[in-house]
Formats: sequence, structure tokens, C-alpha cells
Amino acid sequence: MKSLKAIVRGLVAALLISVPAGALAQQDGGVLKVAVVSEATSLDPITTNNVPSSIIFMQIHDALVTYDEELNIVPMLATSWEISEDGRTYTFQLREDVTFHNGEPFTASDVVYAFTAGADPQYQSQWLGRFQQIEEIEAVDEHTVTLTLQAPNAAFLDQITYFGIPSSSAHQEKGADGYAIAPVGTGPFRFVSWSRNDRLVLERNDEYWLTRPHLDGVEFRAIPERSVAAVELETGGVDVAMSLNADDVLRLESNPDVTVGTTPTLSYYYIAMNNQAGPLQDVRVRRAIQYALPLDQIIDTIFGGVGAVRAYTTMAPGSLAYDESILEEIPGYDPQKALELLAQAGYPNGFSTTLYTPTDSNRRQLAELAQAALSLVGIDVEVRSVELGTMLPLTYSGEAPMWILGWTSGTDPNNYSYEMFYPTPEAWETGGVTYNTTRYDDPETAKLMLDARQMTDMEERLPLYRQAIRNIFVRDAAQIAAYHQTFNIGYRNGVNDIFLNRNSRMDLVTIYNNVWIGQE
Amino acid sequence: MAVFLVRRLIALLPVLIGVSTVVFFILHLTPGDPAQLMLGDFATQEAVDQLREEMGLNEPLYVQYGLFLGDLAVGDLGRSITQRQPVAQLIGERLAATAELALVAMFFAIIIGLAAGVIAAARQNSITDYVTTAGSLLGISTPIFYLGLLLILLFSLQLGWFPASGRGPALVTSIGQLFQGNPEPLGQSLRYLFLPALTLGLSFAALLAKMTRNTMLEVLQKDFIRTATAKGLRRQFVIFKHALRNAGIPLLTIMGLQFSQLLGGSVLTETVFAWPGLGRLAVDAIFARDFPLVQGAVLTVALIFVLLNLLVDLCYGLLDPRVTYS
Amino acid sequence: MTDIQKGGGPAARARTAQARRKRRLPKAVKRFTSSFNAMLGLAITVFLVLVALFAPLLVHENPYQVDFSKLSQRLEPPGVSSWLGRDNFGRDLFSRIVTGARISLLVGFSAVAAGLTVGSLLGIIAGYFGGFVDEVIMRFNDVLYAFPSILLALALVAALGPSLTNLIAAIALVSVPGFARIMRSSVLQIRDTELVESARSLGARNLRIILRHVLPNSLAPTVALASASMATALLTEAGLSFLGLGVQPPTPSWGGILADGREFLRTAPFVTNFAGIAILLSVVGFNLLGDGIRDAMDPRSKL
Repeated sequence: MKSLKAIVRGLVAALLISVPAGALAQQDGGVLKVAVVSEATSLDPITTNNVPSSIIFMQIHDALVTYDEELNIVPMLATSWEISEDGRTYTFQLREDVTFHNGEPFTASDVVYAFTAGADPQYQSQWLGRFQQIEEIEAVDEHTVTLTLQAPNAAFLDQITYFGIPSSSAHQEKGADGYAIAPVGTGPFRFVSWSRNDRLVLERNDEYWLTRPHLDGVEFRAIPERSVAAVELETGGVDVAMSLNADDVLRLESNPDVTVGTTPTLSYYYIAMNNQAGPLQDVRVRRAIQYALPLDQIIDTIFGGVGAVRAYTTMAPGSLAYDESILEEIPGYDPQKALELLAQAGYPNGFSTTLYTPTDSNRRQLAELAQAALSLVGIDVEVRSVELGTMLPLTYSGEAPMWILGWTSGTDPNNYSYEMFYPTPEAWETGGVTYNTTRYDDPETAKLMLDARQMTDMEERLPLYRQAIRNIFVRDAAQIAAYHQTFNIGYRNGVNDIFLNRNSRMDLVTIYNNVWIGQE
Repeated sequence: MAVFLVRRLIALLPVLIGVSTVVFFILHLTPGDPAQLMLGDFATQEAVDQLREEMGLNEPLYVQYGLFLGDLAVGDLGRSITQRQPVAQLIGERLAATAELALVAMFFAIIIGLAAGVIAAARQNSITDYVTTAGSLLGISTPIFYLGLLLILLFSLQLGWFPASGRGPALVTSIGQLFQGNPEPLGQSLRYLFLPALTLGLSFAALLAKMTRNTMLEVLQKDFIRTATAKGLRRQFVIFKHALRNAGIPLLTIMGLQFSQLLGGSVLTETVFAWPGLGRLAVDAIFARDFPLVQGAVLTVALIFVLLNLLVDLCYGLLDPRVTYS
Repeated sequence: MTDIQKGGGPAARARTAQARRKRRLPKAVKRFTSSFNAMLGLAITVFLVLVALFAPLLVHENPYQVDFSKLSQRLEPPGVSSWLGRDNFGRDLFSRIVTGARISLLVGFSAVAAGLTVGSLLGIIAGYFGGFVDEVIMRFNDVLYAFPSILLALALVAALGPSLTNLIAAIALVSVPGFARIMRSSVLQIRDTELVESARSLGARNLRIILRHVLPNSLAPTVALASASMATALLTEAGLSFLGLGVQPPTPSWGGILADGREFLRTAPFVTNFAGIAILLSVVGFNLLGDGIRDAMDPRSKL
């Protein structure tokens, strides 16, 4: 454990972009203007967990637990917790000095309310799928909560790090729809106003229990055109621009007024194949595709070396279950071998298939380059660029033979293995919602992942995950891992102590940083 | 007149019902499950099924259509699936933004278009005519998002005159402030409005310029203009006073008919300039399969269009006393 | 016209009109050729059509397929090896844009042809038969008119799935109401004139009347609208590409090249500029040509 932690720490430290604030005088004041790409849909943490909303409502709310700089799970609103012997029951001790923005104290009943409502179908919450595993939650006393799961899940705490706890009285009073546009949390910033698609304004919470935020406030603006966000950054229209184009990143690096912050993320983008239909059922065909794609070159062309790093498996470099020894085992670019494998599988003249991709530029480019490379080994690919709304049903029903998607889900290796590759025969049968759209069905691997999910000691879990990943990507070539996106933001000089974490989020006020504006 | 108005208003109903019917069926034929999209990344089939049931998506299409029309009849546009707010409220928030963008764009278009058209007509077949005609063609010939990006690079980045995106204070509020002796908010509003409105207006100005030029040329041939010039009135005066008034009706018609295209252009303009308007709302809603929101937004746009054209028809009477309403 | 007899009645009037129209043609040609704008429009359009027709001969690198050995020449500016530079995959931009002429003109021509046929038919039916038929068709027309075209096209493409055919269908549908309106008003203008009455009184059948009298009279505004619709089709395609639902990769269309290239607008502006110039040139060409034809055939019309 020690050596692993040291590695992770070293990696994270090397990759962090955090302005050392040591000797500088940190000043209070200033409103940080931030350009985001997508508008939040709702500021209610109980019903919402999409990223554009979450990055904003997590400035207003706190969760029970949070990540430290190295993505270990540490206390937040819960000061400590115990996990029962069978791994099912969590007992949280809560902070006693916390008040909501409306002045009411934070208590166990707020926690119970939040989890209960999130699991209540009536609220149509995006957490519903995650919270159905909760069997029972109750307040033991004013500041103690016990929560029991139906089955042990070692990734549970990781899954609730972005579940902010609202004021139960405010939420009840306003209703979920009303709360979505007027949230009341315990976080570093209070909600001021939100005119949709225009700007969302937050102000400092002077009574923040953790620390006093330096910023007077934060103003978020959704600017869908990335190149326009870059212009805003250059002209000072915003202080921070999130999600820049690769070309803008390269260009802005030489701009003296702007700093580009970069951190690799745990996100995973891949070319999926339906393992249970057509030519792609055959592992030799899937491996031939692995051989046929010059992925290093493809990723470098699309991202110019700054937007992403090549992926070999779901596990990004620096993640807990990352396994360097697997890299050599993943087939590299070798079109000759691809042709041989295709011939062995009975497709000496290749075959035709369809590759679906979402409409964003990065993934369209990946599709186009994959198409070019596969045509060289005789596989004729038709690219169809469609919106997610059209694509997802095709992946659930098994109609799509190949498609490109991305996946980000906290830090726990369970979320990057079990969630994507544990067999869901019932959903496959009916075409229902599942995360194993690849239709990967291997009993041995399934058992490894299930066992690991039910153990509590991370040190014991990791070898199981590594074996499962080896089965999936090396032995069965179930999926083509493409890239891990790099989180790039640009910020103007004078913005200090910004922290980019590996969940593709920009931290403003946390246990390890507190952004301030001022010249050094 | 009143009878005419009532009859025209009643005649609008089938159009609006038609528009909502077309939208309804296009949407319901669109692949993609709103319930799935609403529940997000960690949805379960159980939850999706439950939500589908609750949203009435499991009913036969004709039942859903009936319910939709029923709600519409009592003015209920429903609740947005993605944003979890009443559709009417979401549209209301955006309407002012799009209206001020469209109006200022129209203003630009009229100024630029009329000026270019009048100049070109007054100096027919001269270099000025060719240059003006060619210049005005550039306006319609450039894809609007490209034009917008180029204007941002020029006016925001290079010259630093105008902000690249976003909206200032609402124009109506700013004008109210102006009357209270505070011109500053109006300046802010206009600074933000300038680039998106110019982008949108330019595409429209070209059309107006062309129309103005042709109409003016025609009117200039007419006897009363010849007479006026012969009577020794200054040529410029003649052009403006007489010709322009006579060109008014055809121009007005074109403006009415093309207004929905202007609103269409706002779809792209609003995305480029991050303008919080109806067009962007509609596009986002289409992509998110937010059925009630798409229906509401498209219906609103259609309503604006038909009402505007009714207004244009009424204006005929003001411009041309020969027109009577029957 | 053999069934028209000599004499001073309606038949004679009809014949004079016919003769007048015949005399009109050489005059129109003369007017057209003497107009600088019209000839410029014709030249541009002919040039584009030739480029589109002979694209395979002009292209010297594969405009579709990415050549992995050329990836390192990504976004190379215009030069000797590639006249217009290379795109973000190292493909020759000249080859892409020349082939794009085919795609973009195909989209434009097919969409306008389809829109014109359907629209004109609806217009003729509505105008000629009037009454309830007219009412129904024109209300439907109003419905289509009331949609901003890009929104309707976007919703349709989202519903049908993005493909070349669906794109063409969407753009065609959007252009239907304009043609219907023009054709209907032409029919109405002529339906009750003496010209048609006389023809009818002489026993000419409906279809024949329409073909002989209504179509030639509606030609000028229809041609003008068709050329303007070509321009609109190109711009709509570009707009849909901007929203991510244009022609599918790797097929090159001008709108697609322009929309994809905007990501590199600052570092490699030539990609967007050349695609933009191509669109601009053709839109200007179609507009000038259409206006020229209309002015030549009917110098008094405005629309």
C-alpha cells in the first residue's frame, strides 16, 4: 500500500497545476468569471448528477465525504465513519458546527432526507440508479447517521463524493423544481441568481465552516463555442475558460496574459463493439481491429499531444488499479497481423460495419481516422455521427455494431470495471438500459469483479481488478481503449491557487486550496 | 376592420394547430427516449420504465397527441424534461432576449439595406451600384456562424470594441433607466447587442438592399417622379420622399415573410454569441429530446411569425389608403 | 394552337398574346447578355458546374481517405505540394473543396429540384382548383412557412438520422412553401384573365391551359426563387454542419469543411477561408444568375 500510495502521490504531484501560494500575500476580494461549455440543468443535488450541473452545485453544497489532492476519500460533512464487518452498514459521525446558508443548523435529518429523496422514484432523480442499492438510512441521533446497503459495495463512498446535501427544510418547502433554481446548501458560496444560458452568480458564504473563501463571488457563463470562450479569455471577458480546443491550448501557451492549466483525468474514451453479434463476436476479429488501429498516431493527430493521452485499458495512468505491465500485452499497430487474424476468422476480404459517434469534434475525428485505418485491412466502416439521444438506444438494443463513447465515474476501480463489464443478461434480452453495452459476458471475469466489489481492503482488491482488466482487454479484446482526456483550462494572470483535479473539475475552495485574485 | 381582425385571428388557429401537430409527430418519430436522457448516466431500466409511465410515454401515440392538444388548448405547455421547470416560464425568460436581438438586427438590416439599395438605385449601373450590390451580396452569402466568428475576431479580439459573447442588461430595463436619467445601462446593453445583431442583420440587409434597389428603380421610372424632378425638385429629395414611400409596401411584405428566417438565423447566432435566447433553447431541447420544450419553443416562434404577418397586413392600410379590409 | 380559328374573337386575342410571348424571348436573351451582373452570375455558375462535373479529373489526392503517412503534414499552409493547403488530417484541401463542389451542388440541386416540383404542383393545384383544396394546401403551406427553416431541417434530420438523402429531403421540404406560393399566385393572376378564358372557351383542357399559359408566366419568379433557394440550401447545409448534423464524414461538403475547420480558425485560417470563399462564390453566382434571368424575362417584376 505504501509504495502504491507513493507512486500515486508522485504522479499526482508531478501533474498538478497549482500555483504555489506559500510566500504570496493572499488577498480577499474579486469575482471570478468562469466560462463553462454546457449550461447546468438544475442546481438540486438530490435530483441531478450530470457534470455541468454538478460543477456548479458543488460550490453551493458539501457532501459527506470528499477527495483530497491525491483523490483519497477524506471527511467533509462527516467527520468519521465506520463500516460494519459485512461491508453493508456505514455509520457516519457528522460535523456539529455547520449551518446552512439560511442559518439553520446542519443535522442528521438533512442527510436522511437527501438520501431518501434521491432514492424515491417520485423525484425522478439521476441518482436513482445509484441509490437503489440503499436498503435503509436512519438518524441515530442529531449527528449520527447509519446507512445500510443491500450488498457490500467497496466503491460506495466514492460514488457519493459529489452528492451535495441540501437544507431539508428548504428543499421540502420549495419542492425539487423550486429548489433547482434557488438552492440552499452549506458550501463555500451562496446562490445569488441564475438567468439561464446567460449567467449564474454566487457570492461568498462568510460563515463557511471550513475556511473563509477569498473570492467575493463566482460568475459562471455557458459559452458553447469553445473558440469564442478562448477569445473571451484573451480579452479579459472571463478569468477562466474551461475545456479549450487543443489548438487553442497550444496557441495560448505562448500568451503572456494567460496560463494554461493541464491535468490528466481518469476519464476513459473508447471504441465499443457488440461482442455478441456479427463478425465482432469473434475475438480474432476484435483483436484484428486492435492491430489495425495506429492509436498513438491517431490520438496525437487529434489532440496535438495536449488534449489527451492514449488509453490501453479503462484504467488511466495514476489510477489505483493502473497496471503498467499490461501495456505491452495490448496489441500494437500491425496491419499485417490484422489481415492474418481476419483471414483466420473467415474474413479474408474483410466485412462492412457501422461506427456511431457523438457529434463532438474529437470523437468525430477519432471515427474518421479509425475508418481510414480499418479500410486498409479491408473492413469497410460507415461512420454515422449522431447525437447521444439517438445513439444510446441503439447501444442498449444491441443494434449498433461499433460506437464511440466516454465514461467517467469517480476514482474507484469498481466503477471502471464492474460497472462496465459485469454481465446484465436481463437487460440484453429486453434491450433495456445497461452499462455493459459491449455485452461482455465472461463468468470468470464477472466473479473477479464481484468479489473485489465486496471486499473492503483496497490492497486485496487491486490484484483482482488487474486480472479482470487483463482478461477484458488482452485475452478477450472486448473493447478498444482510445484515450484519457486531459483537462485543460486557461486562466488569466492574477488568478491564484486554482486546482484542477483528475475528475475533470476545477476546485475553488476545498480542504487544500482557496482561490484568490491579485497580482503576485 | 374589427371583423377583419377577428376573422384573421381565427384563421391563425389552424396554422398553429398544424405547426404543433407537425412538431409533435416529428419529435415522436425521433429515436431517443426522453426518460432515459432525463435520468442520466446512472439510470436503471426500472427507473426509466417508471418514468416513461409517469410521463405518459407508454400510451399510444394518438392518446399522447390528444393529451398534448388538450393541454395546449388550456394554455398548458407542460414541464421541461431536462430543466425541470414549466416550459412557459423557460420560454418567457428567453423571449425578451430573442426579441431584442431580432429587433436590433432588423434595425441594422433596414439601415444598411435601405441605404445600400437607395444608393445603388440612384446611381444605377455605376461602379457604386456594382460595389454596393456585390457588398450586399456578401452579407447573404456568408454562413452566419462563420460571419459571427469573423466579426468576433475583428471587433472583439483585434479592436477590443465589443464583448465577444453574452448579454448585457435587458434592453427594456436599460431604456427605462435612460428615462430616469441613467444612460449607462443602455450603453452596456447595446455593447453586448452590437455584434450578434450585426451578424444577424447583415444576412438580412442584403435581401433588403436588393429589394430596395429593384423597387426604387421601378418607382423611379414612374411618371409622378419624372414630373417631380421636372418641376425642379432636387433629385435626392424626390428619391427619398416619393420613391421610398412607394417602395414601402413590397418591402414590408418581404420583411414580414422573411422574419421567420431571421428567427431561424438567431438559432445559429445565439449559439455563436452565447446569447440566452429562444433559438439556442430550441436547439438544446431538440438534442436533449425535451419534447415539451421543443414544442413550446417552436410554437412560440410560429406564433410570433403569424402575428407579425398579420401586423404587416394591417400596415398595408396605413401605407396605402387604397387597401381596405374585408 | 391549331384548334384556334382565325377571326377577331377571343381566339385572336389569345394568339396575339402567344405571339407577343414568342417575340419576348430574343429580347430577353439580349437583355440578359447585355447585363454585366447576369453574365457574371452565368460565368460563375457554369464554372462551378464544370468543376463539379470534372472533379475526379482535377483531384490529385484522395479527398475522402486519410493517408496516414501524410498526418504529419496536418494543417500545412497553401504551398507547392498542395495549392490550398492541407486539412487537419493532412488531406489535400484543394481535392476536398473540388469534390465538395460535387457534394454541395448535389445537395443544392436535388433539394431545390424536389422542393420546386412538389411546391409548384401544390401551387398549381391550389391556384387552379381554388376553394377547399386551395384552403387546405395553403394552410399547410402556412404551417411550413411559420417554421424557421433551420429549426425544421434540424428537427427532421434529428428524427430521420443524418445522411445525404435525409439532408436533401429536409432542405427540400423547407423550400416547398416558397414555390407553392409563387405558382399559386401566378395561376391566380392568369386564371381569370381573358387569355385563359378564351382558351377555355375554345375547349382547351385544364392541363393544357396550365402548361401553355400559366407555366411560362410563372417562370421568371420561379427561376429567381430557385436560384435563391440553391443559395439557401448551401447555407442550411453549412448551418446543420455547424450544429453537428451535416454531411457525414469523410464525405467533403463545403459546409462541413467550414464547420469542422472553425476549430483551427486562429492557427490555420486558410481551411475555413477557402471553404467560406467557395460557398460565397457559389451563392453570389446563383443570386446573380437568378436575378439576371428574372430581370431579362420580366423587367418589371420585383420578386
